[in-house]
Amino acid sequence: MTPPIPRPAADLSWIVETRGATLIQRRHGAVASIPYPYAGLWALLADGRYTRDRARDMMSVLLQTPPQEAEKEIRRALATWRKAGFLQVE
Amino acid sequence: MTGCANEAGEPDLYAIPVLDQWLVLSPQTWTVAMVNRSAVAALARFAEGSSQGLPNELQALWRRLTRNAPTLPPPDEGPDKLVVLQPRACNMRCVYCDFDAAQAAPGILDPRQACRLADCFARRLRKRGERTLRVHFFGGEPLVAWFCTETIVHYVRSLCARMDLVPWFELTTNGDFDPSLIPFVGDYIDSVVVSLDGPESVHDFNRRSPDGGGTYARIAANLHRLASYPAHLCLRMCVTNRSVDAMADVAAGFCREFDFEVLSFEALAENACSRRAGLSAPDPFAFAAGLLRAETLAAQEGVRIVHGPSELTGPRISSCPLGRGTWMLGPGGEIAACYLDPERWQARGLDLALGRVDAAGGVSIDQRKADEVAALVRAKPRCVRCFCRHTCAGGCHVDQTPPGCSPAYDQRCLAIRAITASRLLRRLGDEAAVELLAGRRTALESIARHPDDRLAFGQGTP
Repeated sequence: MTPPIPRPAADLSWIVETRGATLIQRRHGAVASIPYPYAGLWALLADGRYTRDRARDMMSVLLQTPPQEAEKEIRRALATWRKAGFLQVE
Repeated sequence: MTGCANEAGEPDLYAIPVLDQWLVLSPQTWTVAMVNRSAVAALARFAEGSSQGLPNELQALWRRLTRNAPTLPPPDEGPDKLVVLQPRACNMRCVYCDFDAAQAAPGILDPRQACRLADCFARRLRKRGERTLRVHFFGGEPLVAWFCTETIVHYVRSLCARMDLVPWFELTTNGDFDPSLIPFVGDYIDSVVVSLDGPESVHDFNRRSPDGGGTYARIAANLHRLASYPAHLCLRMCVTNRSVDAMADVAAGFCREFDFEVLSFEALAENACSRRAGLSAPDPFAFAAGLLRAETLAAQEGVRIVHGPSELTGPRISSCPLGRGTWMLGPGGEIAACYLDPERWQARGLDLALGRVDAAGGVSIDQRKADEVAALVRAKPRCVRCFCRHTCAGGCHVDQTPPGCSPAYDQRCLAIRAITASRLLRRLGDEAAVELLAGRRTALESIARHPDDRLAFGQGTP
């Protein structure tokens, strides 16, 4: 079964900044800054154009690591963001 | 003589006949004045070393014209901008395009090659103490390879965060791209240049889909969507013999329909494709008049009109990226000083290849070749007598002023000279004179065809 595509949580908005992205929850205000290179991954999610292959290829370039390593980093980042409530739980 | 001398030790001062007066200019200090015939004759005599001296009322002007000026920038201190030509291919088939996008090799740049070049660029910027890393995406159509563009943008932003630099991105696009890319383009690109050749009927004749259909409606829809994002929007119109008389109307129409900051006019550079489509370069004086009228209208809407070689920017050694040290990265990893197809510069006897970059290896730039390119833009016999020599500075070094070109002004020179002089008048606040020039072709012609603008070369005796 294909895993669900991660999406930003419904109560979350974000600001694109030079050095990353700032996440804002409606009830709490600014809650986190996502620095680069992870801000590149966030951009894919935020723009609704995330696919596993696309994220792996891009993060492999940004992190300058082989694709398998990049996939591990992506899984770690997504798990952290899910736990923090930044991503919708499917 | 003070700091305002040219390379031959002559005063770097110019005088151009405008209506019944003379516009006197120091392009190095940006001092501009309108004077009458006897005043320009006195200034010319003084510049030639006459012992007569200057009348009192001209001495203050002379001091301002000749005060110590900033020197011209040294040639090629290093790259000022990285231009990425990731595909040569394009999703449109414009009738005047001689890039031959249909035949272009389908190769797309490996983004890691651009990243290695950006690493090298960033190190050089830091060494020179500069803060802004500028990347310009060009093509072909850069959004045909959107995944490559996106990866490079995020890598460069990441790199800049690490190296305490500020990234700045420009994208030149035909505007006919998938609307799902709007958030990326609008949020992550600083300046977006979109080609739009006029109202729908004019645009759709020139700029077509591969099936021959029009593209205006899709581009206009994307422009409306992009207006709600922070990216600055610049519309770029290629002006032809068919559209030249409508330039002011087009500017007014764009201002009504779109929310944008800059409108750039470029005259069509005629080629075999355009001739087959019945299009030719616009008449230079109609182009100049159209631009001046458009400038008046657009200023009321807060839109700036741009014509690259006629911008009052400088003093500069080149109005083209070639000569400013720009690195153009092609889809195969080749680095050149010019974005044109190598066949175009090779046909002029020029070698503008600078080196190459490998994704896994490094960057190799041939400094000897970079020095040769820098020398190329400084050797411009046609420009020596022209008051635009430190603003236009030779225009396109491949097509307009290649080595061995005729010393006579060409059609582009005529337009640039007419526009630049009129803009200088506008800078002096003389809108009435600009309006008069825009409506009087003979006045524009006498500016543009003036054979030698150097102050010390017989001015005042036209």
